[in-house]
Amino acid sequence: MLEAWQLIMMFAGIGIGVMGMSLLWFGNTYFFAFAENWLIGGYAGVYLSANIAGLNSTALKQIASGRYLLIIPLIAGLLVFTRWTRFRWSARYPVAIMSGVGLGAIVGLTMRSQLISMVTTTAGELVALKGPAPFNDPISAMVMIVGVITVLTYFLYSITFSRPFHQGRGRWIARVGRWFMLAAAGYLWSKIFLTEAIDVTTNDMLMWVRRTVQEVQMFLGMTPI
Amino acid sequence: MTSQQKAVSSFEEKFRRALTVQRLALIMVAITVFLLFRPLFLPMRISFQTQDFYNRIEALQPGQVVVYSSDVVPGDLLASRRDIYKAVINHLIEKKVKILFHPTGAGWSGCTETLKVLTNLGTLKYGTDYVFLPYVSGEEMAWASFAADMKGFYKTDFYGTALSSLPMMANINSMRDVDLCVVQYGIFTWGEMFVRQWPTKYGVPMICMALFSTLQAWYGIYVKGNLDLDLGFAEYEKLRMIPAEHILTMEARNVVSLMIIGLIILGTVFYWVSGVRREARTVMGV
Amino acid sequence: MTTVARSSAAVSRRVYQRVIPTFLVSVLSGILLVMYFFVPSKQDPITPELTQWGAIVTTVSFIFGYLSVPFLHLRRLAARKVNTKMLFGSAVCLLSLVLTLAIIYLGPGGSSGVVYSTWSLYLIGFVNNGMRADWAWHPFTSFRIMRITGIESGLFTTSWILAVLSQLPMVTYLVPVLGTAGDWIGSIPTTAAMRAGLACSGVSSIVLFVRSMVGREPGLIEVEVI
Repeated sequence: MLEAWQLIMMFAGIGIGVMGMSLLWFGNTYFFAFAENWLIGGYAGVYLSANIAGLNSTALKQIASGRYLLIIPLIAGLLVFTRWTRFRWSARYPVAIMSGVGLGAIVGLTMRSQLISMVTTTAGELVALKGPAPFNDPISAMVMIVGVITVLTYFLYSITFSRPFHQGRGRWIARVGRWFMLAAAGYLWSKIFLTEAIDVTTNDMLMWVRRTVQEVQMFLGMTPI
Repeated sequence: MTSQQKAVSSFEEKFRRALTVQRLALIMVAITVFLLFRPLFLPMRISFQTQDFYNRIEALQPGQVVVYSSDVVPGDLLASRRDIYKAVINHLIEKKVKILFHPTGAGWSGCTETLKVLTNLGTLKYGTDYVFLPYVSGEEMAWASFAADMKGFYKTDFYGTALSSLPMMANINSMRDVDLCVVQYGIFTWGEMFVRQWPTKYGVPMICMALFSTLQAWYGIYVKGNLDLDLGFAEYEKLRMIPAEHILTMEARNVVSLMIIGLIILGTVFYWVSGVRREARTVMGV
Repeated sequence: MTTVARSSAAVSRRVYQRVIPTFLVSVLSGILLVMYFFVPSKQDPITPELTQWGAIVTTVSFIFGYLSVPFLHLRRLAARKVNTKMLFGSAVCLLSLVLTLAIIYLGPGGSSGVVYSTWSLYLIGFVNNGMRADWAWHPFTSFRIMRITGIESGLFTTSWILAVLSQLPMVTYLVPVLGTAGDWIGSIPTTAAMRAGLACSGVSSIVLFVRSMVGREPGLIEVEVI
């Protein structure tokens, strides 16, 4: 059961939340500006404190315990603050470290997970004539290979290689690829642009209305719905 | 255009203009609020992804190690996702596995005590049965470093205790020592990052609580089960026979989605009957 | 300054502002690639170390980013060159930031305390819910643009309808074949398109990597930094 100060915070949160939702009906008013900037400031505070604590645990404590090499990335990271000064070119060094490490960390695994796995799995399904689970039938396997090849063909951007497939006799291949992409887009559109939107509405109303009513009922000593 | 076509055409135009986004939003809110207080308790089937997720956890043996990675924040844990976090974590606790909580959300510090109260973690021994790690940003680079050398990346746990002094962490040094990853995330690009750095590199099976579209290309290869957001949460709660809020939220999804489909079909019928041909602005002829 | 002196200063500046950082990208990514292909991961001490370096630099950069927010708003309030609504917004942003940090660092229990978790749930979480008002535009856009006018729009709309129906528990319980149909669309044609798309993006990642290795991708350090 919530205490009185928590109930006050709850109603304050609902009030500011409704101010944010007012954009839909009343446009960019002072109420919306309040809610928008309140959220930005709140998140900035949360993330700032979390990152300071994270830096403490992953760098400062470790340096203090003897891992002195970690001073290098710490100093390199601090160079990013020079963006506020006339030595802003120094900020390229931490960006270079992030880019280099990031690229190196992903490229080998990208080859394995996005290229080799995709090709070998699709080929394996075709050879075995078994589609991906739970559709282990030959038709699904054949549709899969047709889809992969035609969509890959569609994405050939090189003028030399793509002309026969986009304008020549093979243009039906790109068209079939486009059909597969449209079917995929329809499926993805349903996931993100309808069901998730409805779930967002439902969760908002669940918290703002149903849960609020339950909390107030419990606070007043009644049995919640 | 005939007079009948003109009549339908103007009706179609009126129909399109009458239903503004504000009115649609009000209708959606009204239906949702009504159903939240007057649920219909309609039946539901269990999808293959949810069944796979459930089976993976059921197959765990006592003593195995599970990394539970989540971007949980108090705004989720205490709010709309309260019931699913409780359901999944309690299921893991029932299997008597060792749980290593790996946070990827900045609000993690506000969740640890709440998790102990909300779930059955309070019945377990901290440091022996479960460990909370601290939050560190860095996304893929941090997850790569964590997976390669857990005690090297995180010197201490969430409370500042050296990881090497915790009994549970004695034989857990990298992702090779983990038996299952349960990964929950909301940001779409994180799916491929997790797939790259954990199951691809170390072969550890991964089950997720995320939008299926963000990982479906790897489903069955690296990802072995998934709860597809609210629908998956509702199915899982039904499988576990827990009366929870996500089952309730499916009511609104049923009714509002059918309403939108009906509006689109109606719009298509009016479009063809009216004989109106708008200049195509996209390949979809809109 | 003479032309010769100016050009040597420019060359020197180019070296430490562009050449060295680009070389750094090549070296770091090259080391990690060699480690991945030629050293078993159990015996690789460099990858965990370098990725930890990357995580530390990222964390400091995030701190810079989140400090830039109050810095920008303070500067705006001091300059007072913008309209009243923006000044109001900046003041609210700073107030919220200060209150949040005060609760985290001075509140009872700190960031693990009940005050912070209540503040985070209601005064940040609930407000976040309200800010996501674009949910109304998603079904509205679907209603406005989706019409079956040909093969392609038919494919898109039919796929959409079957996918939606497969996600409605009531429908899939009463008419199970609709659930299977929607799952098939998600598992076969959609997955086929995504596999192909991922393969293409994998190729482009490799191309980007090779270009960065030979120092032909200055955008990696210059585009993000003015």
